[in-house]
Amino acid sequence: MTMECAAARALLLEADPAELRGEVDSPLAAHLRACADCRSQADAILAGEADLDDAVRAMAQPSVGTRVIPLRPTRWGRRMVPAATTFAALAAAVAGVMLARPHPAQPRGATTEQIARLMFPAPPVARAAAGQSVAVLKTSDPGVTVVWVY
Amino acid sequence: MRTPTTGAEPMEAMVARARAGDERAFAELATAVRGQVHRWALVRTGDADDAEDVAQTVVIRLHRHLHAFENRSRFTTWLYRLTASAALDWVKGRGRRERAHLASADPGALSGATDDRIAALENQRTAALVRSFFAELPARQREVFDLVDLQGFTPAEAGEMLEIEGVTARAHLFRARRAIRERILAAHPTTRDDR
Repeated sequence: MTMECAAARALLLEADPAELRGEVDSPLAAHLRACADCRSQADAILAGEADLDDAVRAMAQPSVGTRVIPLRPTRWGRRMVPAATTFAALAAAVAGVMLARPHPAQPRGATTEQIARLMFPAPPVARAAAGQSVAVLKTSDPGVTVVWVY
Repeated sequence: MRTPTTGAEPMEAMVARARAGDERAFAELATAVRGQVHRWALVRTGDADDAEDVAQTVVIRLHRHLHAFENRSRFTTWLYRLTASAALDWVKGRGRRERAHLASADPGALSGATDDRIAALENQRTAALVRSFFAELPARQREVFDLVDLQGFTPAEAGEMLEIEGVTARAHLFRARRAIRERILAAHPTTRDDR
């Protein structure tokens, strides 16, 4: 079955990526195998969508910085620099769950556990393995759990 | 990326352990899904700064509500809906804050944080494409296109995640593809001249 280039180019705009890659058997896929011009258009679409995917993936990386977000998040949170004492006071004040990330200004080399001990003198600490970025801190108040994203 | 990976342990096993109260498993689960949630939030809100806030809110809600997950849907679907709900709440809050501050910016304009990240893209064509993706596509089209064509979910799965019919998801997908691909072909040097 043959297909005119004009018809193929209309289909290119809505075809599944697998069809553009020639992974399925269809009139459009057959035309793309036979027509270099239409093939180049399909390749351009696939490359553009791959670039878009890469860009969105890169944009979705969390940025380095510190924000403390209480239960009702507000913009002021992102401007806070939570020194340990400030952080501890805030933790005591917020009756519920809050979430935080360490700030680069914290002591160089301090581990999550070291910072947690400053904030909560003797809590059991559960955290993911090294290199991961969420910790759950139990406090002496059973009604307060800290979920720390850093 | 279709399903967030957790290294050696299957996602289902990690979810089960976290649901049973294992905080270490929760921390590992939250870490594993954080990047995926962040991407969903970014595509949903169109704002890099808001996406970070939404992603962190989702981690908290995941901790609070994981016990309510009953395996009647896939964990990924349930997590997406949790993210969508958090994003909706956040966007509503953003609207209130913007009105409170009498913001004069174009409501369709990208935030400074998103704009900065787009500007940082080295390839100008890609930057223009990303700007178009976020600024011109309706949110629902953007979500379906990202889920299906960029992340590999089926239209039926995307429909389930978005709580719309599969046929509706496909309609959004086709409109989004047409808009994105026309933009790609218009900018591509090897195709621009013969169009």
